[in-house]
Amino acid sequence: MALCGYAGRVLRVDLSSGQAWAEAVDSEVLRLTIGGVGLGTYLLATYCPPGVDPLAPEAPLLFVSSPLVGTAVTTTAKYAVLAKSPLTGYIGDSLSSSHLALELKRTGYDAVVITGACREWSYLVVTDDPLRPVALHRAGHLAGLGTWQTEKAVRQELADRGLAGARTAVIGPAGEHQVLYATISNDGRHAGRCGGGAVMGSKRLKALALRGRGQVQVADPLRLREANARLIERSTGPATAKYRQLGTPANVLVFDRLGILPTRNFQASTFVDAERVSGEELLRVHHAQTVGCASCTVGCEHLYKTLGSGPEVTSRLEYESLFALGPLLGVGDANAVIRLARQCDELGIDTISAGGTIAWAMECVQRGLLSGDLPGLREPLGFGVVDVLPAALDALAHRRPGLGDLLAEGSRRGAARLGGGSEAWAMHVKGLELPGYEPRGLQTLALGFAVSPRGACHNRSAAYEHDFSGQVDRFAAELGRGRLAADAEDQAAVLDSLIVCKFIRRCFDDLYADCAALYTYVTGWETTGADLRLAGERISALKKRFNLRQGWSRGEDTLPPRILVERLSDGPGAGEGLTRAELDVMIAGYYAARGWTADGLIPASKLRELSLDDGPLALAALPPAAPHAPPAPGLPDKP
Amino acid sequence: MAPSPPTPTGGVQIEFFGPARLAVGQKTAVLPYDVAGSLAAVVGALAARYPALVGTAIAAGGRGLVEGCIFNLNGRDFVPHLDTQLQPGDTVLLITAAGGG
Repeated sequence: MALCGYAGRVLRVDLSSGQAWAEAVDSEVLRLTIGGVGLGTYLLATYCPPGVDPLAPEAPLLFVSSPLVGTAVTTTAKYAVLAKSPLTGYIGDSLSSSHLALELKRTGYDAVVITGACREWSYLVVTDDPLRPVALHRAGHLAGLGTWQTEKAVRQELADRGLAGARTAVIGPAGEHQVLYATISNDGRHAGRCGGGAVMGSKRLKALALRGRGQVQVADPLRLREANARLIERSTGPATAKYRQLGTPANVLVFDRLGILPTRNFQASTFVDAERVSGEELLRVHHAQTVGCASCTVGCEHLYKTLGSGPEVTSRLEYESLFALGPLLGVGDANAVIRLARQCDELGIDTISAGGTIAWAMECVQRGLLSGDLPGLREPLGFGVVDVLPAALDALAHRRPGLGDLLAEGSRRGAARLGGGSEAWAMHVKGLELPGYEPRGLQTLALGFAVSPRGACHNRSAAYEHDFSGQVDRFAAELGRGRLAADAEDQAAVLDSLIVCKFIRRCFDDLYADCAALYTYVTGWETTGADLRLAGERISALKKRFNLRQGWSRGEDTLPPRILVERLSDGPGAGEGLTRAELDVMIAGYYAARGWTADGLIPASKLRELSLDDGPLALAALPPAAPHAPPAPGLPDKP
Repeated sequence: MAPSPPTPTGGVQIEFFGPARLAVGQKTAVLPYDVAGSLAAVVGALAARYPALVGTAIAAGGRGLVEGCIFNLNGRDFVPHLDTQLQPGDTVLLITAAGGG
């Protein structure tokens, strides 16, 4: 019987040999892992050898689809990128959206798994054409191009070859130079976190192009249409008003007022120029256009343009980019932030990690540990010094010797290289720089940051919602936060696996039950809310198991020293703090809530409960990694 | 953070954020304490003074806030319970409690 919602196979591509082949995926694996990040975590564990260098040819790079993609369900045009993160050494999972996700689904694969490395810069084309499913083309002429130019060039070349309408995932110069937080970009969007672009660059793969015509089979189209109609109605109501009207930049003023807006490398939690870079001000002065992803009824993306001197630049701007290139660096100039965000997007750099790493370096300059000088500039790197930032981004994206190469390593490795005690203000968890939420003022989220498998992340643990709920004291650390953080992770895991945009999470009456219904209508596999909740826990455990195989230890679940030593200096929470002992209490609560050991390990009984001890998801069932041929001398285009 | 203007003695200051600010077209408002002694009273007073808030931040009928909106008291504590009593001089923040980005 044909699968609904799934293809039931993945495409394996070995760039070293130029070979590609399809492999079947057990339907039980699909059911247990759902798709997206869940399926991707399973596949990553399958194909990623323990201890592998994330930038070695044998390290896999995955593009993963999900069952709801390609259906009419709103906000589901998304895909997941997975790799062992070169920034953290642990699981690196990232989402992006829009047309590329639809093309991936139409190719007829649940995932594309890429291993090996090209001998020279190339781009890979995957289609649903049975006579020519895969082709590799030389891309030396694209080296050095930014993400937009690369997308445009590859799509034009493919159109000239008779493959109009292909969509592309590309890297910019930062990926080519293996900046550890380089992004993978498509349709003007980015799989931003964890350095997937560096992995792609290590394979000398400039782009992946996808084109297909396949249709998604849906088990119960009538009931799916009814459920989707309800979802669409709510997705255009008050629950998503903030996203539609102001976009996520609306957070700036709220976070500033609450004293949770990280400023000057987390040295302050309010910003004197918050109004100047607020969503409200951007909307009033700089707004150019509001758009949305493919298959989306929310339409949250706000494009802003610069005003005044210099050529006009237009850029998408989300809160995280705004915070990381604004208050975190002491920058209160909206024009500058728009230009910097656009530059990051063109270079293919994660704005959060770029801002976090530059902020660390600025504090090193402030403390006299680093000169911060860049060639040709009169002023060194420093908080609020706008003019040096374009040169700093360019230097790090190209790994120019000195400061550029240092910044390309991220704050953790940068601090290890520089020394001088600078680890104390390197604001990362497991190597991943903190997003724009002050943990000392949101202590459930602080726990979420500390234990997150991919490092500090607000998207994999929306535990801040508990801090915003009024049900808990946001300045207090308690054992019971463990349950809340675990639940937040599991919910995110389900949404990231189906995949449904988190911006409509408030549009469900019962998130698990309603999502289970959607999943049932698409796949035909009767699924309850309880099943889906358990799947969320299973996926969280799969992530943890991947990290354990890659050498995770208890000490990795922590927060930067600044958070655990210094108290908030300003804002409504001035004087509040979070000690290491208090964090450890919450972590103990989290491990207990998960049914893990006190050391954070997953006991056999829990593996059994989650169907991870035997069957297709058991470690013993994971096939050995495929052997890899050495890079072929000059990769020919496949006929 | 720009300092908030002092609340007139005897009043309750409201600070609007996000969609609520767009709806009312201003950053702050002051309600007399005799009509804003509790959060429930604040909801009613705001709905009467700013009809554009109904459906945006205040639920139809003026009985509470829409899904995703919440009050914060003095920039510190989120307060989900509308029976919470206020003090003269309190500042109430009307915000959309959703992160993301």
